Amino acid sequence: MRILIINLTRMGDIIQTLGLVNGLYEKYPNAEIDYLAMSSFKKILENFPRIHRVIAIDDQPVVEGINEDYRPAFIEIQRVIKELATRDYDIVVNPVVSIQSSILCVMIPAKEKLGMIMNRDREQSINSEWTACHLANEHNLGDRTFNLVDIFAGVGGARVRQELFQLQPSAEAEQFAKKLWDNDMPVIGFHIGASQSNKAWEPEKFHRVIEMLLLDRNSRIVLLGGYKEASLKPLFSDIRDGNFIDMIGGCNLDQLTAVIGRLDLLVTNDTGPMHIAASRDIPILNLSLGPVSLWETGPYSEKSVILQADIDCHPCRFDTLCSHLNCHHYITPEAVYRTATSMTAQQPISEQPNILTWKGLKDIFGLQHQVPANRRTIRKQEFLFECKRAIWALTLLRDLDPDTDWADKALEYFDRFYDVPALDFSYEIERLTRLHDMVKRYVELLEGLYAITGRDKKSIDKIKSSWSAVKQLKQEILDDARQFSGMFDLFHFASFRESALIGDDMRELVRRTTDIYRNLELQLAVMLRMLNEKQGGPR
Amino acid sequence: MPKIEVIIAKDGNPVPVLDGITLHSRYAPVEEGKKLADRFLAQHTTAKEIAVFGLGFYYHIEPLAGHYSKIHVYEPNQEMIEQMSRHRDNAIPSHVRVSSELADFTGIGDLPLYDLAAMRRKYPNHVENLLRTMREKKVATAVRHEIPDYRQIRVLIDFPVYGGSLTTAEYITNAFTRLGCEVKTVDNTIANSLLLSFLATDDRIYAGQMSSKLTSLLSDIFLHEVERFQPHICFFPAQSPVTIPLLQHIRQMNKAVTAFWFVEDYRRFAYWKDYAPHFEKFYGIQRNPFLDQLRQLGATAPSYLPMAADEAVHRPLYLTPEEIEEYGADVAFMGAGYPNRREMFAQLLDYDLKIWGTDWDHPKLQDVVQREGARICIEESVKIYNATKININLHSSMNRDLFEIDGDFINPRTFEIMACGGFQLVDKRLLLPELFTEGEEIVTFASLNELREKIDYYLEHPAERKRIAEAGRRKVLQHHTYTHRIRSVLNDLLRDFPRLGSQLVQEKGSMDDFLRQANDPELRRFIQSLPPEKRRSLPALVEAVKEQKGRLHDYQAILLLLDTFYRNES
Repeated sequence: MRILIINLTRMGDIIQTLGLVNGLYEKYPNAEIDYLAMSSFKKILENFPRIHRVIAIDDQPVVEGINEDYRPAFIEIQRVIKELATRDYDIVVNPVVSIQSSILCVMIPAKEKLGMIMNRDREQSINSEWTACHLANEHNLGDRTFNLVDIFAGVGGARVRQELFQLQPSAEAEQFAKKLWDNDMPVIGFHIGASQSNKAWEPEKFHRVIEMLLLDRNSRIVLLGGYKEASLKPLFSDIRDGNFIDMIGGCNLDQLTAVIGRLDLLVTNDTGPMHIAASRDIPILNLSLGPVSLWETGPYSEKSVILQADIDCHPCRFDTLCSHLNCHHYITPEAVYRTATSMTAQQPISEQPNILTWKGLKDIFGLQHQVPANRRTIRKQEFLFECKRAIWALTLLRDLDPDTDWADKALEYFDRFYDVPALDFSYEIERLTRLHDMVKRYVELLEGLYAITGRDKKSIDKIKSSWSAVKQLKQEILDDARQFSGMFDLFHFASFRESALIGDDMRELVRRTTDIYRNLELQLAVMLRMLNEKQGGPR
Repeated sequence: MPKIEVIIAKDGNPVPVLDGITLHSRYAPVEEGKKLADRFLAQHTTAKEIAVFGLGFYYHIEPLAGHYSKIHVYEPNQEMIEQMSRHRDNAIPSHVRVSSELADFTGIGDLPLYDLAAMRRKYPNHVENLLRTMREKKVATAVRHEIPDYRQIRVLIDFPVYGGSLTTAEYITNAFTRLGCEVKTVDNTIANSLLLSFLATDDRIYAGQMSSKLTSLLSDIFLHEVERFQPHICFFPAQSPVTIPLLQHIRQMNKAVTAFWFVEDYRRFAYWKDYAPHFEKFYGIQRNPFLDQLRQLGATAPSYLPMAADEAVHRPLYLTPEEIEEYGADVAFMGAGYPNRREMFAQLLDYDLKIWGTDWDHPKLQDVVQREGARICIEESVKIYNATKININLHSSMNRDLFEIDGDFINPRTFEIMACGGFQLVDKRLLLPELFTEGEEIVTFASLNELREKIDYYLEHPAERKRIAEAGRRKVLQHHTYTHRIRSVLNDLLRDFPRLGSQLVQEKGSMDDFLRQANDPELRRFIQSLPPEKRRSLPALVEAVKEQKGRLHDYQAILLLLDTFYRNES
C-alpha cells in the first residue's frame, strides 16, 4: 500500500503533520508513506521517522524564479508529477486547506483522495469531515476549535498519540548540539521571529526579558533564529554575558531540532520551532498574538503555557491592519519573565493583569486542548465555545464509546477548570430551538422524498413537488442560521458534506443527504441540552 | 572590487563568500555541486561544449569535467580565480578554460549555459553580456530575420502626470500596439491632484521638495513595473515623471533600452539638458543645433523624430448639417491662446471666424471665441478640422511677434488637420519643406498680409482646397502617422542596440526549447494558439486557461498551480 501526503506550506504546518504521518503508520503498518513538500523542507522531513520517501518540488524555479519565467517552474512541476505517477498511490492526503495542494491532487492518480481536492471538472470537493469542519470554522479565527495536529491526522482518518509526536534529529546534529553547552543550569531558548509581523512580539521586549533572566544568573539563554531573523541579530549584540548564546543563523533545521531538544524551556511566538519543541517534549512558553488562534496552532503539548491578551479583538483576521496592537502591549516583558521563571522552577503560574494564561492538555476525547492555567469563572462565550467543541468532537470522532453520555461528561470536564455558574442563554436557546425544529422538519421532508424516489415514473410529479418544498425549506433554514453567526459553522459543515456527495443514484443521494441533516439535527439537540443544563435566565 | 571571504563549510571544504553572498552550500558544497551538475547534465546530454558563468570554488563544475570536451568558464572576478587556486587543491584540467575577460568568449556560439545561481542573481547583467558576446556573430544574421516580428517586443510606457504630452503618450501607445508590440503603460495621472496641491501652495521650497519626492515615488513605481514586466523598451514621452537614478538603474540592468521623445521646443524648456546623457536613445522634434547640443551633453545617437498624427483618431468624418453648423466656419483656429495668436486673430475679425480652446482673454476676440474658451476634447477638435473651410495653424510663440523667425519644429496640429482631410494655412517652418510640398500638399504663410491673401484666394477656390487637403492626407497616411514614427523608433533601437535583438532571439529560442522539453502536444497547441506576446506571460496564460471549458488537462492544472505561486497564494 502506498500513501502520499501533500503539504507545500510552511515549516510549522509541516511539523504539525507529524501526527498524521505516525497515525497513518499505526493504521497501515505496511504502507509506504511518501511526502510531497517544497525542497527547503526536505531536510527536516527526512527526520520524520515513518516517511518512506520525500519528494521535493525545487523552490528555486517555482518560488524564487516564478516572477521571472514560468517555464522552468512548469518543467519542474511536470517532473514531479511524472515521478508521483509512477508511485501508484492508494491514498493521497491533502491535510492543509490549500489551493496549491488541491490543484496538485488533480494530477496525481490515486484510488482515494482525502481533504480538499480539485477534480478534472474544476470543482473543489471536501473529501473529509475534518477538512469540512476546519473550513466551516474559517469565518472566525476565534472559533477555530481543534489543534491542526489533530485536524491533519483526522483528515487522513488517523488519531495522534502524543508519545508518537516526536521528531528525531540526525546523530550528527545531536553531536553538534551537545558541544554547545553543559547542562549545568536551566537553558531557556528564545525564538523571536514569526511569519508575519503582527504575530511577532517586539524584539526589544524579548531583549528585556533576556536581560532580566540573565540578571538572575540561574539560567543560560540561547537565542535562536534562521535567516529571516538575521536582521534582528544586531539588536542583541549589546548583551555581553557568558550565559548568553546567540545562535541566530547558526544552525540548519536538523541542528535546530537537536538544539531545541536540549532546552529546558522555549519562549516563542507562533513559529515552526515552537512545533519542533512540542515534538521534542520541551516545555514551551508561547505568546499568542495578532491573528494566531491558540486553539488551532498552539503547541501540541501538555507542557505548554500560552499567554494571550485579554482583549475582544484577538485573534483578528490575517489581513487586519491594526491601529493599536494591544494584544502585543498587554503582554509585558515582566509578565513573560515571571511566567518563564515559574516554569523553569516548576512552580505554579500566577495570573497577571490583562492576560489570559492557558495550559495545554489532552481532553476527554484525546484531543489537544488549551485550558486556563488557573481555575477561574467561565465566560458565556467560553462556555458556548466549549459546548460546540464537544459537539464537533462527537461529530468527527468515530472511535468514541457509544454507551457514554459524552455531553454530560463534557459538562463535568468544564467543571475541572472553570467555575461554571448559571448563565443567561435565553436568546441562544430560542434561536436554537427554532433552528432545530426547522431542521427536524427538513429531515422529515427528505425522508418523505426518499420514500417516493426511484419507485416508478408515476411518482415524478410527487417528487418534483416534494423537491421544491425541500429546496424552499433549506433556503429558509440557511437564511435563519445566517442570522445566528455563532452556530452557522454547523450549517456550513452540512453544506460542505453535501457538496462532496456524488453519484447517479438519486435515491442513494437522498439517503445520504438525510444522514447529513439528521446529524445536524442531533448537533443542535445536544447543544440545546447542554445550554439548558446551565440556563440561568428566564425560561 | 567585490569582497571575497572564505569560510569553512560543515563538511570541511572552503566556500567563497562574495559581498556577503555564499556561493556554495555552507554545509555540503561538494554534494550540492554534484546535484547541480546532475541536473544540468540531465538536460544537456548531447552537447559537447558548454559555457559556465561563475567559477566559484569549482564544486559545481568539477563533476562535469569528464562529460564535455570543452568547458568555457567566465568568472568576472579575477580574485575569485586566484582564491580558488589558493584554497582548493584540485587542479583545473586544460579543457576547462577559465577567464575573467569577456572578450575571450566572443563568438563561441550558442552553447548551453550553466551558472551558479547566486552569481546570476548578483550579476544578472554579466550573464546577458556573456550571452551576447558568445552569440555576437550569430546575432547579426539572426536579428535581420527576426526583427520584423514586433509582436515579440515588450514596451513599457511611462505616462506624464498631466499636460499636452498625455495625448501624445496615448498616440504613442496606440502605435506600439498597432505594430503588435506587447505594451504596458504606467499611468501617472493618478498623481495629478497631489502634484497640483503642492504647486498651489505659496511655499515654493516646499512645493519643489514635494514634487521631487513625488517624481521619485513615481519612478520607483515604474521600476517595479520594469522588474515585473521585463520590457525590452522603456519609452518615455516628454514630461514623464522620471528621475536620473531610475534611468541609471535601468541602464545597469542592461536589458531594456530607455528611449525618450522630447516633443517640446528645446529653447523653451531646458530640463532635457539634465536628462540627455541618461537616456540611451533621445528623440527630438528639432534638428541642429539641438542634436549637436545633445551630443555635447553626452547623449548617444540623438535623432530627429517629427510629430505625427494618429490615423485612427484624426480622420475624415461625415458630419450632420447640425454639426457643420455648430463646428463649421470659413476660418477657424483650434488651440490655446498664446500671445502671438491672440494678436493675429484680432486682425482677422472681418472673416467668418471661430476660435476654439482656452486662454483667449483678448477683448477683441470675445465674440469669436466659442464656448467661452472652454477646453475642447479631441473628438470635437476632429469635427472642427473637418467642418472648417480653412483651418489656420499658427505655431505658438511666447512673445508678441506674430511669427518665430527661426521657428523650426512642426506642431502636431499640422499633421492632425491633414489626417482629418482638412485644409490648413500654416505659418512657415524651417522643417516643413522636407516633409510636405508647398502648394501641393500644404500651403504656408509668412505674414499677415500673405495670410489674408491666401484666405481670400482659397475661400474662392474650394476645389483647390479639396485637392491640396486630399494630397496632404495621402502624404500623412503614407509617411507621417505615429505608426510610422514608432516603426522607425523600433528599427532604430534594434539596429543601435544589439542586445535587444539578442534578447528576442534568445527568448524565441527558449520557448521552442521549453515546448520541446515539456513534450505535451496539448500544451504546444495551447501556446501556439496564443499571440506571441502572451506566450511568455503567466497571467495571460492563466487567463486563457480560465476561459477554457471542459475537463482540466495536466498542463492547465500546472499553470493554475503556478499562478498560485506567482500570486503568492497558498
